[in-house]
Amino acid sequence: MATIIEALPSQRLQGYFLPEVISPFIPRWTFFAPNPGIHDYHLLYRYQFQGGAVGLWRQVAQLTRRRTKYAVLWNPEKRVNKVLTDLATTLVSYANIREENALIQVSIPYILIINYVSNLPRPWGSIKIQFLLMRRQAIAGSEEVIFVSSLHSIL
Amino acid sequence: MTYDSEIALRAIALIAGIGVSISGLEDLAMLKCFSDQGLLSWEVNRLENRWSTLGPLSTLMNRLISFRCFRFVLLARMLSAVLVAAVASVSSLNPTLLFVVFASSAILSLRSRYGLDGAHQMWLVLFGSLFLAHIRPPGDIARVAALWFIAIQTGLSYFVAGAYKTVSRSWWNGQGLIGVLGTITYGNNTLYKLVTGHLLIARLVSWAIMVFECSFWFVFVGDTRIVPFMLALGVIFHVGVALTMGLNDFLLAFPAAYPAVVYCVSGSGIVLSAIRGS
Repeated sequence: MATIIEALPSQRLQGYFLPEVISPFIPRWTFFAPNPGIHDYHLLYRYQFQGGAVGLWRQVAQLTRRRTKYAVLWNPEKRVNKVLTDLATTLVSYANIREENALIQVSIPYILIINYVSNLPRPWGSIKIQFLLMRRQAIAGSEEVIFVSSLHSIL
Repeated sequence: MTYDSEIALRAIALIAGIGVSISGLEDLAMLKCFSDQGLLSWEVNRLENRWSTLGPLSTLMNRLISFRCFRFVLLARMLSAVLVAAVASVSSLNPTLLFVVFASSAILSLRSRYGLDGAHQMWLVLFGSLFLAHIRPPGDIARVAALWFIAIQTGLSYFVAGAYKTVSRSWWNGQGLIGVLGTITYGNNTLYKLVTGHLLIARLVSWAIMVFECSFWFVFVGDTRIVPFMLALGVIFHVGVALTMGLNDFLLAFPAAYPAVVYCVSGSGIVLSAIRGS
């Protein structure tokens, strides 16, 4: 019964019937549907240095790597790829809701990403960090910036 | 009936045990992702839920789910799954081992809702059912009920996925499939080039996927002779998905449930007898 409720398109109905703590255990069998993921997501970050100069954007390459030919047997990277996709799509969905937009910097996806990039090895003299999410669609040959964070202190 | 249900349960445990062993090793290989500095940091994720930030449950769960402890949870998951697969091939299953795999997989779900996929959901269904079946003695109705639960979840999984695709224009016109194949994450460059040049192939494959997923439930109501055909189609589908999209865990997670489907649709055991006889 819970699986059927979880398959309903209305999140309000799901929230009404399924308590928060039970929800993670209820299967949601809507693989690649109704709209399949046709984008690759890329995470980039840059530093601001003492004096105000801003560095170049760098990409976190290991989050969007092409699979090896052995992926049919061994594909550990799929977890981090999926994490980035989930975080990016959730963050963008928050950003599209006006009421949520003001609070986006305290949303979990935002904090997870800023926490991650803040802990990457950083160059000497850097005092602030900023991240950017980009998505690429092969079918349209398009690349678009979907989110740019504020600058955050990393001292 | 008891004999047949035991065979089905052990077959499920064998395939699922191998699947979770591989999945567990993959998670251990990407352990940094779960650390406090990683994208799945518990210190951040725990702020998402009331139960994990306030109250006595949060204190207990934080100890278990914090990265310091969670490394061992992942290790226990992988080792228990190896043992489940090993035991399933020679003797009856141990409920403690099944519980460890189920509970550790459940902790993974509780820890973060990001980065999980359908295969993980199927591991929860399989190991939760296997555990509940094995806390009761052989021949108990719980074992039959567990097999029915797994079979119904399998039927639902295909039907829901298929039904959702049928309401999407991008699945009907083939553009959805082309889009997925064009990604780095789930795509395949060779096939992408093939389908972009031949839109009809993309459409036919998309329609075939929708027809297969929507009609899988026929195994429960149709002639039992279609069962081997549908299950073979299912295996081909998951092999194709693993080869083209790299979703290797689906390759074992869903076929692992097929012994339950076979058991339930066989009723008087016609299909199992045919398999045993061949």
